[in-house]
Amino acid sequence: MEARQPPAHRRSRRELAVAGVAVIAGAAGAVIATSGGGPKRPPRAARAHPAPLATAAELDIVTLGGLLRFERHCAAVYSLATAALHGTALDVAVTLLEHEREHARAVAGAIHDLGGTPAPAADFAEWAIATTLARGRGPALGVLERLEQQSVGAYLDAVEQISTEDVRVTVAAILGAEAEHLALVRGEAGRPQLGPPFVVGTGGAEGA
Amino acid sequence: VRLTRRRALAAGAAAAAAPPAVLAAVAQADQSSQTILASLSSALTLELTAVESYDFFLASGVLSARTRAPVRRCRDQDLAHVHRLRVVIERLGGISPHAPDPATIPSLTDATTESAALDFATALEEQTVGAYMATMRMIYRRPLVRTVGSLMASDAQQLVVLRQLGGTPPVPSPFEQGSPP
Repeated sequence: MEARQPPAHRRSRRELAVAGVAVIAGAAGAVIATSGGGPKRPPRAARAHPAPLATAAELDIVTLGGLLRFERHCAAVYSLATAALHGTALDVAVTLLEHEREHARAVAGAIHDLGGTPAPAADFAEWAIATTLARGRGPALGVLERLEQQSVGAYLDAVEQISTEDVRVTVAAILGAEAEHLALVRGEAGRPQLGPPFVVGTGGAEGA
Repeated sequence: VRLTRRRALAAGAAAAAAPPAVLAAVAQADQSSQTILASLSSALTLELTAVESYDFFLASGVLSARTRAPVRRCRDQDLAHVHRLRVVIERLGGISPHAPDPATIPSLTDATTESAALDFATALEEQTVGAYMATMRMIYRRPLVRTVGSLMASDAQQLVVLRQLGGTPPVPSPFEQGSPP
């Protein structure tokens, strides 16, 4: 049985939040496929599967690892935005930059608490976004709005996947804050702050 | 939270047929379901209270022209939340609470200025977020987690609007946990 491919935007959001889970799910799917009653395929001796994750905590660590990468990306974008914005928009960017850093610290702490080791920060990879931010207030706030929409989507995905109770509550508290960021940035851009009554976020992982 | 007639009948039928070990498991599962239903009902009561309160403020003339439109938007969003929660509770076999009589909502009629009305609404939305966070602790059913997360995030966005209208910091903390009801 073939798994149906999700739409591209959905796929990218999942990749953003839970990069690595797809590999694990793929490995698990292979086990299911070969344990059924259909014709047996020859074993693939040359193909190395990752070790299946034994515990819910390990799966949570993978999910949190995706969030940590995204929070670092957010902090990098906000850091660039503080150099491009002025006035009240700069105040917003400074506040939200500190929040994103706090989120990254909390997510890294949760990984530690679950027995994992947070990955080191990757190299700076936000040059393309820096160009857009430099075009002025409107384009910069547009970048930040899309970033927060992605963030809400990533955290909604994550809160659904996390099984450790305390970690789920921390992730939910960050989800609430990211939704607030989105409303704040929209307001700063002069756009309606409240969208539909059911917040869903968006897919797409620009630069993340 | 009361059992529906159908659930009561089903529970009775199961009790007649199932061995003791199965009965114990069913009782434990029911306890869990009842706890979740109670938590969702608590959130629904707060959403209903918010709708009644916004209606009260909009009708009382206490709000300025600048404030009326965003308050009405919050009211409409909360009404949509009410509809969604009623469906969820019904699907889980529960009975939704009724909307409170505005006269019975503590401190509502004391909010006679715009500032007091905004403070009241902000406190209410913070409690609603807190109720969703409490629910989030006890649910493991994935679609339900997403629904509750989505509603909680929507109320968090309302908090930004209300806090800004009230002249307080719109996002005072990197972690929005609401407040205890």
